[in-house]
This record gives sequence, structure tokens and C-alpha cells, in this order.
Amino acid sequence: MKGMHRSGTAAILPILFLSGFALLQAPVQTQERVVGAGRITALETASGLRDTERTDRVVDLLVSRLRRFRAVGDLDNAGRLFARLFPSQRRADVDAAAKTAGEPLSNRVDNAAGNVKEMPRDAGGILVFSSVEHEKAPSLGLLRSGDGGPEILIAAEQWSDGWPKNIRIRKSSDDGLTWPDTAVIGDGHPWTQPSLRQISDDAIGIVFVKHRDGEDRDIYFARLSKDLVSDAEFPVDFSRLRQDNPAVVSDHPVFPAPYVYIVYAEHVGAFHSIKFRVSPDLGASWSRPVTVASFSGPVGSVGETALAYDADQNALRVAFTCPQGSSTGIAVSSSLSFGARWSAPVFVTPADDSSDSCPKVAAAGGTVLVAYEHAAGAFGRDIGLAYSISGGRQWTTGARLASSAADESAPDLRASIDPGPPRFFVAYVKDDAQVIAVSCEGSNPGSWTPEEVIQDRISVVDGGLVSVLPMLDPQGEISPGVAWSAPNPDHDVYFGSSWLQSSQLAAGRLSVQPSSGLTSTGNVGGPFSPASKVYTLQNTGDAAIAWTAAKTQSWTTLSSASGTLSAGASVTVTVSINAGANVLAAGTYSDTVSFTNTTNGSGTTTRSVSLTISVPPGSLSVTPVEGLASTGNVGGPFSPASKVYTLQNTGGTAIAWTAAKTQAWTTLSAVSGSLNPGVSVTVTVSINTGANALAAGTYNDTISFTNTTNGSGTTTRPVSLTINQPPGSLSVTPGDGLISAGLVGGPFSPSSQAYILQNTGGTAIAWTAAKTQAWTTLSAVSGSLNPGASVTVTVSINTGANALAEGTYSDTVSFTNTTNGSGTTTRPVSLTVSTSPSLSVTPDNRDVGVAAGTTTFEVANSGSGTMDWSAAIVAGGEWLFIQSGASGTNGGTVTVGFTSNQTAWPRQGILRVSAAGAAGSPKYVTVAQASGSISLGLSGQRLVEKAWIIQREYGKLTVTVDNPALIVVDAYVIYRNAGGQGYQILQQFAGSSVSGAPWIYNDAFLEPGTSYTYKIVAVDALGNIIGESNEISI
Amino acid sequence: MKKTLIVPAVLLLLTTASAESRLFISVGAGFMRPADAGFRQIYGNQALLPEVSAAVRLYKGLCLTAGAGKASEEGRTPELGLETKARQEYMTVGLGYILRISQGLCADVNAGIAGMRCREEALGAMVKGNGMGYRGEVGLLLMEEDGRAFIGFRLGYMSASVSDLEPPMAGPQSIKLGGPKIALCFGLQLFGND
Repeated sequence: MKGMHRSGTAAILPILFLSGFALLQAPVQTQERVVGAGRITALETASGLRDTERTDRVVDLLVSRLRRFRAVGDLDNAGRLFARLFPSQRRADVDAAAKTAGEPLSNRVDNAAGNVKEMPRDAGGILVFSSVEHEKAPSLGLLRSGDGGPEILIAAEQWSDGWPKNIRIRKSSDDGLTWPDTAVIGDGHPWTQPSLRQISDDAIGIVFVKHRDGEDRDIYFARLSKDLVSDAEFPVDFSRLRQDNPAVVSDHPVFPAPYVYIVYAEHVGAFHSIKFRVSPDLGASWSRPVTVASFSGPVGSVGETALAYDADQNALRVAFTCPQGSSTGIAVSSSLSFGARWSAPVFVTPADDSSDSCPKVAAAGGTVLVAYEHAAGAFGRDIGLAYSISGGRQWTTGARLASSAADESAPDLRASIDPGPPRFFVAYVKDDAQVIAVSCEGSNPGSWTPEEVIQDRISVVDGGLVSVLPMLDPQGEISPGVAWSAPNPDHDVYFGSSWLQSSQLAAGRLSVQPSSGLTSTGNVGGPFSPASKVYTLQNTGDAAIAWTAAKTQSWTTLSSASGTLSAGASVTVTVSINAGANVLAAGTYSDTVSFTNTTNGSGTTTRSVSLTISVPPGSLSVTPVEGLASTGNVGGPFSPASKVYTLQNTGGTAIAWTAAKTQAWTTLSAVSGSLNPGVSVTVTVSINTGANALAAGTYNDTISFTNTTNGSGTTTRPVSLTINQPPGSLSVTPGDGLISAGLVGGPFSPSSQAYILQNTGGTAIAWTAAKTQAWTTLSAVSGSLNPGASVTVTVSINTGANALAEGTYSDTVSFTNTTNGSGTTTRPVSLTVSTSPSLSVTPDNRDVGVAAGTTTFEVANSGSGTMDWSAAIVAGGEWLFIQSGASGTNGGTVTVGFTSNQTAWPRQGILRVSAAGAAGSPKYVTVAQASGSISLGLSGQRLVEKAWIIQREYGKLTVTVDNPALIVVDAYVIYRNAGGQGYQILQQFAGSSVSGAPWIYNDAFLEPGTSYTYKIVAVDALGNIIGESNEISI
Repeated sequence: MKKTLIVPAVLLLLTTASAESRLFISVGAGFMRPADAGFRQIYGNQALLPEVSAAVRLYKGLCLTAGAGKASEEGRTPELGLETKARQEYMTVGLGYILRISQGLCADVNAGIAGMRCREEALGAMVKGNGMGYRGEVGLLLMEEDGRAFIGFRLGYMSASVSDLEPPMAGPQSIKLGGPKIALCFGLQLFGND
């Protein structure tokens, strides 16, 4: 058994380890605690795990690391740890999703009624919301940002037609004197119980209750930009249960990426839960709910919540109402783990029969204060107080902050952090007529300042919520600002503070609107937009003030630099970006315009000027702006033939460009490229040869120059091509003249020359033809030609030339385009008249042998005059040649040489003798050469060849070749006829392989008893048989 | 017929050798002068003749002998100069007698029948034939000291006649095989000490 126990122990260790790991992964918010009726009971986890120590250590570790990551801005690791602390919900609320399906979440209400009533200054109170409808339940918040001083924000219910409707927000930049900026958000459902806090440097958050059908209430969160211009709404808890009484805080500005925390109550009949959620992304998403406490009690009397964040201890404090004994008390729970784990709630109100309500909690520097409304029986209500200076571990309870005979109610509590040590401020309503503010040092929460009446002139103060806000007044003191709602006669929202007393209001005060700075942008060199901003300077006090406006940079201009303002008067000052900014390089520049109340400093403020100068984008410039207009005749050329465009990048960044055309008759020297800033390139647009084929007319093209990077400067250039018909032009062919010759008395050869006259132009022309000599004749002397038409004019040697003596004569024929002269030309005519030589060549033919040798022909002038002659071989030049006497005068001998005829065929060559002007010229004579021959002889024997045992017959053939002319033999072929079956090729030898000597061929073998007949032939390269032997039989 | 004589003789020789453990085996080479003039005309006057022989002593110097050899030659025809090939083979069994002349010298003589065959490839044809004949040899054997190995010098003659040629050919219808020979051999005496 003992061994078994050890084994069991050993076996369970890994399980425990894994269980611990599972605990590490387990959602810690499953640890719930219930405040039961009259006592607080801590429940165990849903899984029944009682030992939470290990889980606590894991959570502590996660929280410690999460705090460190958040502090250094390591959002990735912080996000992972957040996901482990707050695992996402595994199960969606289907009903809730269906409820919100299609419901707009961001729905700013435009054109909502604003302050339609006059906003008089009241002693100690400024009317903030003053429409003819109710405005109730104000919530104050302070907006600290880099632009100017802190601004005050108020969110309140904006009623409509007697029912809650929207949430209205206002902002004051002058410590509450004026509230010019406003926004109204809503979606048609009643939105109530707004709770407002700054959640980041440039955003505020408002948690509110959205009313649905029946008792269904949902918790929503709205995030607004600090200028109230944009907003977005996100659901936080929208199940079909009732959720209400939300409160919101943020750990801004402790962490670079602040969290937003919300606490609210959820009711299911008589069962109530205090829920907590946290958003790591400024409200866009929310963790699954963490139940701070659960309890049962009567509906309506429990579940009021308050939430505070102690930046010094990174602690969240929740105060809520819950049943305590027979009445209602206030309990507080704390979390040092970003809300992942909450302490067991502790009551901070005495257990008595008096009911406590309206809890407010504030925490700073480890001190926690809870203020609440305490029912004092017949004496009305007091303001109860509980506090802990030990971070919530020990409490002082049962104290009374206000317990006079008067009726004190609706307290609000807020701590100030800086400047100076923590200080707590409480505001409450006294006798429904006064708004009272008191404060204490954080280190001494038991000692409070005397009551300070914030307002006391309005007879009735709404018993509802009062909101207090510690703020730095113009004197540099921390003083409370308070917002409340009061009937006027409908409920309006007021804001007051100790500083806004009549004495302060009576002094002159400078108000500068709008509160935003001038943010201008533009490219290098300007312009900048917006170029200016108009500020309205108003004296909101009751005494005159002097003011000045000053700037620091040369590129800003102020329309006015100083002046005075009587009470209520206003003036505008325009802050402009002047031309000095045009020379600034790219970058971001800033200036600050100071508006100073030089009388008493009240309202002195500044406005920022931000100028962002960017590098201008690349821009394409194409010059010149003119298109290409080219003209020419059909067929070209065209002038101008091209145009050069310069493409330049006139911007500040590189661009890519393309050039495109649409017609085939245009050519671009480049079609694309890139250009750095200031760089240029040329593109030549040309009329190409494709235009030569175009008919007459006008043609157009468009060249597109495109900035493909950003389109800036993209442009086109037109191309116009005008093609005209060419003028008529005379063409005369051939170009040669007429050169004729003949003997005295004729005839003359050639006797004529025909010329073709053609109009090669595009218009009709008239023409003439003229000559000068009588011995020439023209077939036509004039006419007209349409474009393309032609006519023939023949120039002839007429009979007048027969009478001419020996000699050379000339004439000129002129062809004239009488329309425009184009193509006008002349042709010469030459006539040679001579006496007559006669050529004779003998003999007409020479027969020569097969061997190489020479032969001769005799040339003679059998006529009169001088005869120059020449001889040439016109056929058989490959074997026939002129050895001597190739030319001569009158008589001579032509010696013709020839090579041996190495073919088997006779051949003939032709000699031509020519003598210009001689009768009988040219004369052709022939040389005929005999063919060579080849003879083949064949003899044979039938013999027996013996081995040892084997012996066989064979034919022994002897061949003799006689080829005296050395005829080229391509091959010798031996044919054999075996047994009378016909000749078949037996063997073939290349002609070059056979010498002149007799050679032997053995036909092995022969069949005994069979007769064989042989012959051999010689063939030339063409396969012709040029020699054949006798036949033999063996 | 020839196989019916030679094969049983060889089997007898082998069985006897294994039983009595007295066996002489030898390999040798010699030259033979072919008896056929036609053979000599084409292939020359002498032919290389590798041989192998064995002898089993039966009783004292009396032995049963067997042997085989082959002579292959190449030549050319006289007129056309065409290549020819021919070979002669024989297998023989017989009786011999070994006479010890001194401690390291023996003389032997043997004779027997010989089965011979021939073959010729020439002039695009092939012919072969066989016949029975005889063989006789005399020799001197120089024994090693322990009598295990010996070298020998032999003179011999064998002869056979072939008349049945396949296929029948024109030309000589009967040819002679064999002829005188001279040979050197190297041998071992196995299974016996004397």
C-alpha cells in the first residue's frame, strides 16, 4: 500500500503540473464572488478549484510582465499577455448578435438642436446645454493634449419630446466660460447615463446605456476625436439582459497605449452582477466580462457602480450598491491586475437600517475614498464617506462628509493628480438649491475644506447626478469644476467652479475661437491649403481688455497684432501662410501664435500653426505646344517631315512616360522612358514613308504623351498631314536619242524611234514636239494629256536624208510641257551617211581531226571604203579559241585553235566576224571536229581452281582497251549471260581504275555444265555507251 | 562403329586407372608431315599437331593407351589466291609397353587403332569426311627422380583413308589422312610409385 501511495504520488505529479499549466491558461475571471444579503461570500471557481494560489501567482506574473511591456510600448508582447489574461469569448451571444444586426454603430446626429435658448452668465454657473428639451445626467472630463491648455468636456443626456434620446457633448477651451464645440450622437434609441473620460491623447470615450424594448438595456461605448468631429460607437454588452449604471476610466496617460475600463451592473430579475470589461484598443473591442460580484436583492435599489483608477498603484477600484443587512450598503472591490482578478468585495458602509446609495469612488496615491448618499431618516440625506489610506486593505467607514440638518445628496467624487500631491474633491447638492464643493488632501482624507458654494441662485437643482472635475484654474490653483442639471424650466446643464464666481466673471477675459490650430499643407513652392485661419477674439468678461497676437516664424502673417476689446466685443485675427513659405524645402514646420490678454492675462492662449511641405509630384511638360502640320504631294515628300518635342519632368519626383500614336504613317523616335526631376528628353514625331502611299486628302493623328506615374502633365499633340495632287508632269521615254546610219542614198537604220509621252502628274497638261532638220519627221507635234494618259510620238528619218552626202548630221527633238514646263526635255537625232564596205570570210567551214590543232579563215573587204572587223567564237568556246587575228582592217587571217576531242561525239564551233557598216556583216563560219573512238577486246578461258579436297570452275576474262583519243570513260561494265538467261551486270569498274594494258577479271565461280557468255562496254558520265567489246562464250 | 570401339576403350582405361592407381598422362606438340600430296600443295609440308595422351599400366610394362590430336592449317588456292582452311583430327586407343632402361630413362612403344576425320572450307564451299586407320609410336621418356613427372620424345606414324565426303565433290574421290610425325611431350605418373 505504501508503494502504491508513492506510485500514486509520482504519477500524479505530472498531472498536477499539467493542471497548473491548465490553470495558467484558464480564464481567471471565472473566480466570482457574491455579495449575499448582509454578508459577503467568496465563491470558488466554477470548476470547483479551491486552490487559487497557483493561479494567483500566474496572474501576478502575467500582470507584472504585462505592466512592463505596456510601460515600454511593446504592444506585441502586451497583446499576447492580454489575450492570456482575458481569453476571448468562445460562444457568441446569438440573440444579441441578431439584436444588433444591421444596426448602425456610428451615427452622428447632424442638425440636432443646440443651444437655442439664451445662455446668460449666472452667478457661479455657466449654462452649457440649454435647449428647449431636457438635458440631464452630466459627466465631466478633462482633455489634456499638446495643443494649448486642458479643455473641459461635458457629456449629458439630450432628451427629445420628453424622453431620453441622444448624448450631447460640449467642449470648453477657456476653463468653462464658453462651450462653442458641440456634437450629438445617437441612433434613435434612448441613450442615457453617459460617463465620459479622456482615453488617449486625442480621443475621449463615453460609456452609456442604450435602451431597447422593455427592460432591455445595453452598454455601449462611443469614441470621439478630441475636436468632436468624428465618432464611432461600439457595443460593449448587448445581451437581452438588462445592463445599466456604467462607469468608465482609462489608464491614460500612464501607458503609451492606454486601456479603457468599464464597470456596469447586470440584472436578471432579483439577481444582480457587477461586471467589468477592459478594452486594449480604445473601445474597438472588449474583453469578455469579469464578474466583480454577484448578489441578489430588490430591483432598483442595488447595482449603482463607480470606478476609479489609481495611477500610482495601477489599481482599479469599484464601488457599488448591494444589499447590506436589511437595507442597502456600499461595497468596494479592487484589482491590481488590470481587472483580470478582483478582490473580495468589502462593505464600506456600516451595517444599519439606513439605505446608502449613489456611490462614488476616487483613488490616488494609494488612498481610496468612497462618497455616497446616506439616508438619514427623517432628517433627509447626508453625504457619507469611507476611506482607506492603505490601498483598500483597511477602511475607515461611517464618516459623514456632510451631515447638517439640510438635505445633502447626489455626491460626486474625483481625485486630482497633478500638479501637486493628490487631492480629492467632492461636489453635492444641498437642499436642492445649492451646489457645494469641498476638498481634502489625499494624505488626510478626514480633513475637508469648508463648504464652497458653487451656485446658489437657482432655486431648484435636479436631484440627479452632479459631476465634479478637478481643474487648474487661470490662477494656477486646483479647483473643482462642477456640472449639474437644473430646470430652466426644462432641465439644462450648468457648469460652475470656484473660479467662475462673479468677481472673475466681472473681469475682462479673452476668448479665442476656434480652439484648433492652423494645419496647412502644400508642395514646395506653394500654394498651401488652407492658406489661413480666422480666429475670433472675444472679450467674454465685463471689463475692457487689451490684447496682442504674436508669432515666431517669418512665413506666417497675422492680420492684426494688437487691439482692445470692450466687454462682449470681438475681433477677428487671420493667421496666414505668407509667400515666405514658398522658399521652404520639403518638411514640417511649426509656429505658435500667442494671443495674450495684456490687461489681466485671463484667457491668454496659443494656437499652433503646422505647415507640412511636400515634394511636388513629378509632372510632365511637353514643348512646344503646337502640333505637327505637314503638307506634300501624293507620294511625298512632306514638309516639315518631323517635329521635335521636349519632354521635361517639372516636378520633384521621378516619373515614367509613354508616347503613343494612332496612325501608321507617323513614327515616334521614343515611346517610353523615365525622367528624374528636372531632366528632359526629346521625342521626334516624323511622317514616315507610309504616308507616300496615301491618296490626296487631309489626315490626322494624335500623339499622346502620358505621365504613367501620376498622370500629371499628360497631354496630346495633333498631327495634321495634308496631301495634295502633284502638278502635271511630262515624261518622255526612252531617254536615248535616235542614232541612225546608212549608205549614201539610204536606207538608214534604224529609220525611226518611237517616244512615249506620259503625264505622270495629277493634273492635265498640254505638250508640243518640235524638230529643226528637214530630214526628220515627227508623227505628232502637239496634244494634251490627262493625268496618267500617254501618247506615242515617232521620230523618223525621212527620204530627205537620201540626198545627203557622206557625213554625220544631227537634229534635236524638243518635247515641251506647255502647261507648266514640268518634264520638258529633248532627244538628240544623229544620222551617219557613209559609203559601203562588204565583208567576206572564207571558207565557210573547216573540218578538223580529233587531235588538237589549228585552222585558219581569211577575211577580206570585197566592197569599197575601209572596213574594221573583229572576230569572236560564239559557239564551242570550251574547245575552240582564236589563236591570232582576232581583229583587223579590211583583209586578214583568223587563226583558230582547237583541243583534242576526248568525247565519242563530233562537235562544231562557230566563229563570227563582224564589221560595222559593212555589207554582209556579221559573217558566221564553222569548225567541225571529228569524234574520238574507243575499242574494247575480250577473250576468256574456263579454268578449274583447286584446293585440297574442293575444286571449282571459274572464268578468266582478258580485256584489252584501245583509247587513242583518251576519251574519258566513266565506267567499264562486264555483262554475263549464264545459260542463255540474258545479260546481267557481272561487275562494274570505274573508268579511272583501268589502264591501257590488258587486264584480267576472274568470274568465280561457274556451275559445271553451264555455258557463259560475256561482253564488256565503256560508258561516259551520262551513261552513254561509248565502246563495246566482242562477245565470248566459255 | 568407330565410337563403339573407342568410347568403351576410353571408359575401360579410366576405370582401370582409378582402380589400379597407375596412370600416365601427357600433353605434347609435334609436327606431322601430311601424307596427302594435295594437302601439302595447299597447306604446306608440315602441320602443327597438339596432342594429349594417357596410358594405364596393366601389367608390368604393358599399358592400355589412348590419345587425341588435331592439326589445323590455313592456305590459299594456287590461281585465284582465295583463302582456305583445313583440319585433321584423330582419337586413338591401343596397347603399349614401357621398358625401364635406367633409373630415369624409359622407352615405350605403342600401337592401336585411330579414328580420324577431316574438314576443308574453300572456294565458297565446305566438305568433311572421316575414316578408320592405325597408329604406331616409339619414344623415350626421361623420368624425374621420384618418377612422378617425365618428358618424352616420340616418333610415330598414323594413317587413314577417307572416301565418303560430304557433300560429294568433284575432284579426288579418296584422300589420305595422317602421316609421319615427331613430337615432344610432358607428362605425369599418377597413383603409382614405380
